[in-house]
Amino acid sequence: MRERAETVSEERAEIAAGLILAVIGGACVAAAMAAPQPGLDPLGPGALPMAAALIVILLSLAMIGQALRRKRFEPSGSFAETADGSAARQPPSPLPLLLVSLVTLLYVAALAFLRLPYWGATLVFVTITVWLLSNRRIAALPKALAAGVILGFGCDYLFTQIFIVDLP
Amino acid sequence: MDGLLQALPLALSLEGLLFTLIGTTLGILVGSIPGLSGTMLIALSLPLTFTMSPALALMMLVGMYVGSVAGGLISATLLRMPGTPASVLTTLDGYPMARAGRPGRALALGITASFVGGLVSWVALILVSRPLADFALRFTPWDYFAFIMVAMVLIASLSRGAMVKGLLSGFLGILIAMPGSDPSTGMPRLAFGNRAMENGFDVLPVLIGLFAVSQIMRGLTEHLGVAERIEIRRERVTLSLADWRRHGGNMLRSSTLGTLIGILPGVGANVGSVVAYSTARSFSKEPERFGTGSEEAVIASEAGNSATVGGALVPLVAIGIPGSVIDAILIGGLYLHGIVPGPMLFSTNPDVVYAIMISCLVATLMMFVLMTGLVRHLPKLARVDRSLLLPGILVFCIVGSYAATNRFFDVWVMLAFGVLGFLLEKARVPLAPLVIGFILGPLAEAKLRTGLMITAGDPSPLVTQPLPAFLMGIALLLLLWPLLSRLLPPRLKPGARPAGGSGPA
Repeated sequence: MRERAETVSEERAEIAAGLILAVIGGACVAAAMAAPQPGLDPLGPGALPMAAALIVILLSLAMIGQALRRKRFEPSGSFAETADGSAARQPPSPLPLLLVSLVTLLYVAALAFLRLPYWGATLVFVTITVWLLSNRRIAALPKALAAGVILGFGCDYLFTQIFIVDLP
Repeated sequence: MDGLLQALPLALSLEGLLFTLIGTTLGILVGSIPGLSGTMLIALSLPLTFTMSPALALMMLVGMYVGSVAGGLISATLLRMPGTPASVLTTLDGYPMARAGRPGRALALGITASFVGGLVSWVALILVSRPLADFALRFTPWDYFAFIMVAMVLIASLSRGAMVKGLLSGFLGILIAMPGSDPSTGMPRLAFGNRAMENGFDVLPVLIGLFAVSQIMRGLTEHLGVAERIEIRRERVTLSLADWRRHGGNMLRSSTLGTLIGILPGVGANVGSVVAYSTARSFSKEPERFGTGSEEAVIASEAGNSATVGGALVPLVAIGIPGSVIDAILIGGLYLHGIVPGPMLFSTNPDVVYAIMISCLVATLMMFVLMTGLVRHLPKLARVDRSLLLPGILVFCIVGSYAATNRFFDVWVMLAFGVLGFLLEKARVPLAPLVIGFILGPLAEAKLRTGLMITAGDPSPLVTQPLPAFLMGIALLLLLWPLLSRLLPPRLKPGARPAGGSGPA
């Protein structure tokens, strides 16, 4: 039953990925059509991008078609129950992914637009992320803060003094 | 041979050995932690090599490559969690051996097989690379283009049995490489009115996004099963002379197969492991034991996957075509250091070529010593607190993407490719063809357009010249193979296995 649930999840992902890639391919075809016409070069700048984009669109549609065909021929059923009627193991919650993604976007935006000092922004980002991934327990806050301090100052020192790399 | 001797002082200098040691150690550590991979480690380490000399950087990266492929053995055997995809088959027999009270024995066989695999493939690297590079110097643009097409189709056709997804991934990689300046006219294309896009996508943000950020996202959405942990007490983790006599043939055969698979463009350690495993089962007097704790199986899987490392470096240094995903990232690393890979590399940057070759051997020796010495402690790494690990990796991803060009555009690109990689993995679209397409796409375009300029737009040399025609024929055969294989009699079909066998085909 768990395998079946995974198959359904894969089919949905195939359809979603196929749609997104087809849209990207469509945008690239439109952009390639606007490219200048060939001059001395027989192909010109737009021909290969257009060919690649068209193939991406075709293969995306083929993947969507395969997913829909599998969906049609497989038996439907409830995925929340096992064969003996008991509740199946729930898939992992997407909440940690969503929360960490949001915090990461805010961290990068803060570095890009607010020009915060790198060590400070990293300290806050790591502290919050470690705490979120520790099931948001109050008891995990000291560990999260320690990780934030070590990574905030440690990365700043490591990259600027040892690897001589520019920081955001 | 002269070049090899000239590169020895650098490769065996304190600095050279230290960087190879750091790379190998990090590779083993990352390889033995389920959820992390050598691909991720090498992609994340590229920005740290900016200030290093190209030769030293490559020595460290090759050390990581060797260490990460071998390191997967530890958690595969003791925790039933393959540290790398290439050690999945080791899990089938290594873990049952460990549960049966022979963890030290399983690890001794695996470590020694990895060592022998590394040595055999290194010999091939030394013997084959230069002649192949000399041969490749005579390639016409059409030959090159056809070669790249074969590499693309080959890797797509091996994509977990789903060729549509493999091809989609490969062409998506080519498409992603297209924005930026047109290589012939210099005019911007696919920039969508965005000035930052006029330079195209930089290699680092794309690689870090696809292999590090997507892996972090996956780590946030999956439970890692906790298997019974098996301790090694006072067992020997080395082989006796009798073991060498008994298993030597299997080790050499599996290593040779792994090396040959590695040399094929675009095919990686996973396939090397599977082919060596299947062949060992065919030759075995006890094929029924495969999948239940067979010593021969552990040896075949580990010799096969480790041997692909040296094998895959052959097309990289000889013709500039990656033998695996990690090799594609290494090619990205060469570009970052202003080095153009290809057959001219032996003339333009002999120090880098021979540093790669020597470090492959040194890293194999170091891997053997380190893994034998640390084998009792490495399994503890699998228990590393992931709530601390993942944010740390994320911080490195952001710095790594920014550092190449000092543009926040690249950080956003990295995050976008992380989401794309995560979605593609959810849909079971393999990422390897995407990376190979992304790295080889511009080269394929340049060769095709040069060829067309020479022939005034006539593409017929692709079918009239012998080498391109042969290569395009292979590509066509691989593309049509799913249809042709249906016409074969059942006993000849791929996946048909001898009676009594178990495990993967």
